Amino acid sequence: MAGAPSPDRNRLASLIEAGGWLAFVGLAFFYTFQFDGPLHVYKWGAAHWPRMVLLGMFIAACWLLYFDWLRSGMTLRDDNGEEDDETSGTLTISARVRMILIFTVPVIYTFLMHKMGFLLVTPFFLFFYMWLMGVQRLRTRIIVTIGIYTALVVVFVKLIFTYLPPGAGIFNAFNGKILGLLT
Amino acid sequence: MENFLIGTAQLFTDPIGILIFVAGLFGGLIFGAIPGLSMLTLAAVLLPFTAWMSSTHAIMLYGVIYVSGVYGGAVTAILFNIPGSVENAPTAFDGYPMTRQGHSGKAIGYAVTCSAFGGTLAAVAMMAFTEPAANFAISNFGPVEIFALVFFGLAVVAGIGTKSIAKGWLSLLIGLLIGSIGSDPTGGIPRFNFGTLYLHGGLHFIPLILGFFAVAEVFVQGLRLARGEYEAPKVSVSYPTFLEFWKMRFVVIRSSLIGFFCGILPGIGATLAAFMSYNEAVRWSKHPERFGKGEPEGVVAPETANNAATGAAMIPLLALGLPGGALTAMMIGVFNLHNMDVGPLIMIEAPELVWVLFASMFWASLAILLVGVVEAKGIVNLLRIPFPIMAPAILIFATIGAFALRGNILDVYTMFVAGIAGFLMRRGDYSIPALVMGVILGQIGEDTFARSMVILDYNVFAFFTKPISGVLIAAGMLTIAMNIFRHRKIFGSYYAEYKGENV
Repeated sequence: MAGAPSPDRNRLASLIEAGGWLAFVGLAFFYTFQFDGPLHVYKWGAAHWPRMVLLGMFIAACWLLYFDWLRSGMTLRDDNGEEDDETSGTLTISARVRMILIFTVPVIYTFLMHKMGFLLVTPFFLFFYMWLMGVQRLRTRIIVTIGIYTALVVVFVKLIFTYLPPGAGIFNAFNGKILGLLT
Repeated sequence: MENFLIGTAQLFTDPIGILIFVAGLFGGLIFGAIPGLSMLTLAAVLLPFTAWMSSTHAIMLYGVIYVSGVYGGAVTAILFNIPGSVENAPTAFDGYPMTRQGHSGKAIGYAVTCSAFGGTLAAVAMMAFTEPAANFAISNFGPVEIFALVFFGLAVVAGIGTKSIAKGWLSLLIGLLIGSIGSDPTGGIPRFNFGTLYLHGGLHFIPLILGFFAVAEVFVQGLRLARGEYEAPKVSVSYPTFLEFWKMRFVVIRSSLIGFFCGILPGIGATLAAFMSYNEAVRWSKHPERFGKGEPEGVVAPETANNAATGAAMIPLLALGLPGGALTAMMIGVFNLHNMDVGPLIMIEAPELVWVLFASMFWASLAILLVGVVEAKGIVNLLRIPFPIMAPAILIFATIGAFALRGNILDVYTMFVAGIAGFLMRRGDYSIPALVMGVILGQIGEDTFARSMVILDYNVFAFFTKPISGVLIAAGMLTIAMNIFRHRKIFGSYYAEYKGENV
């Protein structure tokens, strides 16, 4: 079991996990008081179902805490005696940065797509995300970006007229011009 | 039989009819496979144009789109973990792990053959039992029984896709809570919408499913790429052998029955059919622990059931004028466009239309087999494209799918938030299938529970006074008890092992 986390660390992790769930249940339960009035058609009201669900979550979180607390103190292997490949290993700093970008770039892309329009932003996203995923050759990235972008335009814009984010302000007019050129 | 042959003859002796049949078949396959642009998009786009078609052609077109569209979504679910529509979501639970293990050809082969089998069987049953089956389902299955069915389904799914029963239940319950966002089904009171208009109508399934499956998958593989641990799936074009199909015979028969039955229930349709049959496949399996990790039965069960539900959905539609889902509701619109009323009289007033519809759905199910076998050999080659190139394309497709749904950018944000949540849940050994099931069945569950309580005078024990609901609730409780028992047994063995190691 070399490299396995210590029992104390496991216990702290399970405490944080179950504590997080219990805190979430508490907050959500508190929020249900905003809509807990009785209804004419259903006397238990709109809050009954969410509260039942939250009660279930409370029990499950306590169960998780109890068993994980006991189990985490044992530093045991999982059922197959193997580590889960998604939780194993460590990341170098550059890999960590890349991973953060893999998560954040799509959200930034969505924000920019809304402001600047789908047709304008998408090729840059394709080009950059491919680099993030490890495609190093510039020529490959350019050719693939052009290929995917063309396919998207043909299928979604020319064939099935899908409504795509047009952007705002001057970008709206710019996207309109691109659309005019493409169609 | 004679009517079926007349319907078939009418279908294949009319060149325009053949053209519409082929267009509907390929249109359904393609639109079904594009996330967010499901067969419903195609059906909605075509609706105004059906006014220029004959009533027979128009209804036949919708029947064919329904059959092929339900299968189409399985392909992307298996190859890229992107279910084309909600009823294909359980196919991804095991179909995608099969692809990762190099069995993509087999997974698609199972999906094609079982979709065709389920659809054909349901078409035959639809021709034989339209009236009695509709009467049985409508008179015996009210809100009380449907809630009991949903409860049973939820009890089973909590044990899927995780080693921890507590995490399985937490996943399911958070799904139920997500399903309650928006407004309550009885009084329309706003709930958990934090004052925003966007959440008032609730979160839509499609961005959530795209996030939890497609986006989370890109993030998981991205992590592997960043660590240098990524392994490309092996491309396999091997089709399942006859012996492998033969081993699936009980799953296919059971799933066909479940699919057919769920399809008859108005408002339930193919989605519940797919999830319920997946649950049953887990429950009856000798190796339930293999589900979610690439078990072929996990592909066979939902794909058989969702196609079986398509034929069955025609029964309440034609016999009683009750739509089972969005597409059958559009079919009522087509009937209305042609000044026809759907209901028991349709079989007397327009028998040729009904039999052409039955025949076209039967032949469309068989055509899926033919087209699908050819497709299965070719389409798996998409996996030869390196994942770093596929990843941005998957994200763009998912983005378009989420946005095109309602033209709302917040759906795209929801999808990415679901993607990040799905990634974290997979790392923490939580169950994505349970969460998705909770979201989908939660809304049906709450609505039917509230209506049941009104019917049963707010007495929860009254579920046991009705035979069908009593059996289903008891079976659900037994399943929960068995899961807890199994968990305690596993934990007990850990504890014994630990004590042994530390003596």
